[in-house]
Formats: sequence, structure tokens, C-alpha cells
Amino acid sequence: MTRELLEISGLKTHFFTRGGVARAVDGLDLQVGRGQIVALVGESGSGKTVAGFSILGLVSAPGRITEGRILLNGQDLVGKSDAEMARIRGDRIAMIFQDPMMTLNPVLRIDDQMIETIRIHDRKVSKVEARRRALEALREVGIPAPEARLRNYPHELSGGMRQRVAIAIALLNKPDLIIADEPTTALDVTIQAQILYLIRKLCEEHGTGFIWITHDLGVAAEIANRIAVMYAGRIVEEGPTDAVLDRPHHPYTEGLIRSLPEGQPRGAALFQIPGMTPSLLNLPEGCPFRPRCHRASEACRAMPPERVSAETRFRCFHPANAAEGALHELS
Amino acid sequence: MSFLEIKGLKKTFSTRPDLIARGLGALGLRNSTSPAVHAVREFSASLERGEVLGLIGESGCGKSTVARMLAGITRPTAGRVLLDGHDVIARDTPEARAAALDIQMIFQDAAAAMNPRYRIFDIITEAPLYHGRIKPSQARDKVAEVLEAVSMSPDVADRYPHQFSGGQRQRIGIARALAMQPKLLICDESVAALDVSIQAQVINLFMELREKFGLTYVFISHDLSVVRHLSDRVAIMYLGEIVEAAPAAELFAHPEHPYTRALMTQNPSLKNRARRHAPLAGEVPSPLDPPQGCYFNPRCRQAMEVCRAHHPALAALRAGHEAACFLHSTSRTNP
Repeated sequence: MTRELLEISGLKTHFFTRGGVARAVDGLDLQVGRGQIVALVGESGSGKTVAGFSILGLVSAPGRITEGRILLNGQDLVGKSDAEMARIRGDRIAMIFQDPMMTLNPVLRIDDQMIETIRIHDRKVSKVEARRRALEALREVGIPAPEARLRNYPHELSGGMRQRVAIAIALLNKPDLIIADEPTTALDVTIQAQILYLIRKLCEEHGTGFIWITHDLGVAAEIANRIAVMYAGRIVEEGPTDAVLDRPHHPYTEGLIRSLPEGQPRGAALFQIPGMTPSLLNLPEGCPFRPRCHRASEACRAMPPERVSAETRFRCFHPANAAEGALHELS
Repeated sequence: MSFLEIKGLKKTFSTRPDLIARGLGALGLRNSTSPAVHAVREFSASLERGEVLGLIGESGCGKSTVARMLAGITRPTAGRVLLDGHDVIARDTPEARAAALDIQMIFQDAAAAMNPRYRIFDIITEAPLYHGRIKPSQARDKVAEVLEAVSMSPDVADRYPHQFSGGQRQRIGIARALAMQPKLLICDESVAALDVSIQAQVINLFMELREKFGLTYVFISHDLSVVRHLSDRVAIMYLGEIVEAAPAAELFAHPEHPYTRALMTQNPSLKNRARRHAPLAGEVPSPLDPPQGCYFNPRCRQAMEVCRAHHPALAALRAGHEAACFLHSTSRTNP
């Protein structure tokens, strides 16, 4: 069996707060292949951002990874020292944030920041060579007049241009994996479309694996090869984009899709998932979606095991869109 | 006359030149006129009672400035807004002053629109008590009534804003607006910050309240599918002016302006899987320095010679459907 680029198994990241233990990520299994874009979809508090931070080794106290493995090219990232992770971040794994100013230093020119990113990981690269690579990266992400932009400060660029620069910086060292946390949420529709188009193209050309964290199913539909839906720290359903969106098994996935106005008759009452996402400090026993689920039964007081259908895996005792015989318990 | 008439609304922001610039100007050494941003160049619309006007546009198109002018937060440079025939901008009669209070606004970030040190009770009752719409003795009942209208328990009145989730705070923001017994609600990206499952709840609430209280809405959003769902009429804005307006069903079935078409094909959709075609290039130009001719021409794939020389005017293509584009009409204007 060929190794996936990224293999996460049984990952648990817990926060030990005064109010109790918040199980932000509680048993996450996820795989990303080379050149593959996986959308990690969830609402606020589902643990999707903490999952991304865990891969990058950016979880800080009171939180820590308590269990699980994160294999990048077969190498476990859990338990690496801070110095080792610092070498991996920005080199093998890069991050793109929702707000590009999280990446950009406001008091440094674009060229200085980009040259630093290259030279901090490889001292042998000359400044001239680093600058040439920076210019090439800006050109690749479609920034007009890249030569002039290199000399700009971040505040001189528009929001869309800043996000392109942040993407260019992420690409600089040709990472194996890029984690993007809501990278287009703050952008306008036409600019978002440009970025989605760009990322797809870059992923294919470079074979970079991508984890795209988003709450927006429409964006996930457009960009991702696979979709993983998170709820209360776990992936409740995962599979190829078409299968998850067209034939969802988990009632939460189904509810999310049905609650969108898209495709509904104008003015009709939208499907509502009752209630709200539970507090991580006070999760219901068994299936965490049980109190909001219209299919819940007594059985749901126990945690559903992971099951597989022909295309997807999911955690539910009463799946939608499924012939019962076609489903298997995953041992 | 329609219930809501907006006529020629304009807003120009200009900075006062600083002391040195004024001094140099007085000596004739420098042009003392300061740069002006035409946030809204021209906005006219009308709406019947109980209708929803959807306003779509990207950042910098002026949609929020329109919202703030309608709500009386920003004073227009020119133009009139008539609600039930009363001029709510001039507010020169007691009836007009009352009509201005009939317009209430619901913001995107409910937390930022509430005093964090006030209890929900005070947040909801402050405006109606101040304006004499309710008596202090009626306050408790009013709070219970409006909270019930947004499906919240009256018990929450004694809590503080930070004790609620984003979706609950947005409901409280709506309850506060309802306490003024408004006729027109201005919603500026009111569901944009909410989670998907909560967004559906709030959209349903807006539709329920419209039925229950006969409310009229101006609903501003960048999300086309939300606007399509809620609106009767839709206006698309670009760089401070309307480029296309029509009844919602008509607009979404037959978009005519190239910008409207671009928005519709590029709005993320569950149906657009693994899309390949190249997106609209470029960005919205700076309102400080708009392009010559049609403002959209540098990004438009169908731009012609005339688009670079002249500015198209909004013209009727069919009954109720207007667009400002030389592909469809020859009428032009001086921006």
C-alpha cells in the first residue's frame, strides 16, 4: 500500500481549563494524498481549527495533544521538539490564515518577509537567489507588477492581494502540505473565485496536499476532492465530494445541506437543525449530535462506531440515504 | 406612491484639508480642494409595504453606506427618503420624525452593536423608553413580547450580551429593533457571521416576522443565494451605483449586466463541483479614482469602445428590469 502524504489517526487535542477538560479534537482520523484537497467542514466550536493547529504543532497551554499520531511522509510529528517543528513549519507544512495579516509582518516590506522565509530554512540560498524565487512566487499567484509589489508594505495592498502574498509565502519552500483556515471567508465573491481557481491549479501543478478548513459547503464543493465534516471534535462523515454532498449518510451533514437556501423554492421555510452546537465542556453522552437529531433513538446514548458505505465513512446508528445491508461496521 | 421611495441618494466623503494645505491653498500655491470619495453616487429605489429589497455588492460598492443613510446614521449629501410619504432625512414635521423611528437597523456584528455592560432588558428598552414608544410600566411586558417573537425565553432579560452565542445575540438584536414597533428593517449582512445551521434559523425568523408584523425589509448581503431566497426585488451595486435592478425571480432567471452574470457564476455553489473556467479578473477599482467610462469596463470581457468612453445610465430593458450597460441600451450619463 502506498503511503498517503498525511495520515492522522486517533488524534486527541484537549484543553485543560479551570472549567474542565475541553475535548476540542477527540479522536480524529484523516488522510490527505499528494495533490489532493480535503475540505474540513464544520461550524464554530467543531474543532476544525484546533485540528489544523495540532498538525502544525501550534497548540499551546492549556491545550496539548494527548493521543494519536500525525504521520507526514511516514514520519510522526507528535512528540517532535519545538525546534524540530519550527524547521518543518514553513518548509514541509505551510499555513494560510483567514486574515493574511496573521502571516504578514506590517513593518517589513514584502521582499524582506519572503527572503526571510526562504533563508531561515536554507542558509545556503543567497539573498539574490531568494529574491528571485520570491518574485517567481508572486508571479505564480497572479500578482500584477510583482517587481513593484516586492517593495511594498502589506498595508499598501488590497485584501485580495495580501491573501495572494500570504499564499505565495506558503508556496515559497514548496511544502508537501498546506493547511488553509478559512482563507477566502473575508474576501469578496469575485476575489474568492480567483483564489479558489489559483489554489486548484497550484495543487495540481505541484502535487501539494491541501487541508482547506471552512464552514462554507459551497466553497468546499468547488475546491475539494474529499470532504470531511466535523462535529464536536470528531469527523462524523468523510468521503469524496460528490458522495458526501449528494448522498450524505450522517443526519448532521444532511441537515447542513438542507438548511442552505440554495436550491430551495424562493421564500420557503428553510430546514432548521434545532438547537446549537454543544459546549465542548459539557458534551452529551453518546453521539454528541443526539439532542439535535431528528433520527436519534435510545441506541444513540452510546457513541456510534465508525461505519463505511461504498463511498464514505461516517459515525451514525441511523444513517440517511443508505440501504442497511450496504453498510459495515469498521473493525 | 410606494411605501418606501428612495430618490437620488448620494453620499460623498471628503476630508478637510489640514492647516498647511489650507495655508498653501489660501496663498494660491496649492489647489485646496481635497479628494472626495463618492461612496454612493446615485441610488434610487422604491418598495411596497411588506416587500423585501435585496442589495448585493462587493466591498466598497456603497451598500452599507446606503443602509446607514436609510437608518439615519449617516447623513446623505443629497437625495430624499420617503417612508409612507414622510421625508425621514429632513425630518421637518412631527410625523416625519416619528416615521424616521419606524426604520430600525440590524447589524452584522450584534455583539459590537450592544453595550456589554447593559443587561438585555436595558438593551431592548433603552430606545423605546427614550422615544416614548412605551411607558416604564409596560417595559417588562414589552421585553417578554419581543423576546418571544424571536423565540427566546423572557428569563434572558437579566443577563448580559456576553452570555449568549452569536446566533442568540443576533436574535436579541432583532428583538431590540422590534421593540420600536418598526415598519422598515434594514439588515446589513445580518446573517453573514452566523454558522450555517444558525443562519437558516435566523432567515426563517426574518420571514416569520415579515408575515406577523407586516414588516418591509432592505436586506443587504454578499450572499446571492440568501438574497434570492428572501427578496422580492434585487439591486446589484458596483462602485457606488446600481448596475442592475429587477424583481428577484426575473433577475436570477435573466441576469443582463456582465457583472451580475459574473457574480452568479462565481458565487460558491453546491452544484459547481471542481470548476475549471477562469474567474473574473481584477478587483473593484478605488472609488477615489474610478476608471473612465463604465466603471466595470476594465474587468468586463464584453467591453466595447463605447464602454471606455462613456458612462452607461440605468435604463429599463423590460417592465421592472433595469440595467446600466451598453450591451443593452445606449443611454448614457455623466458620472
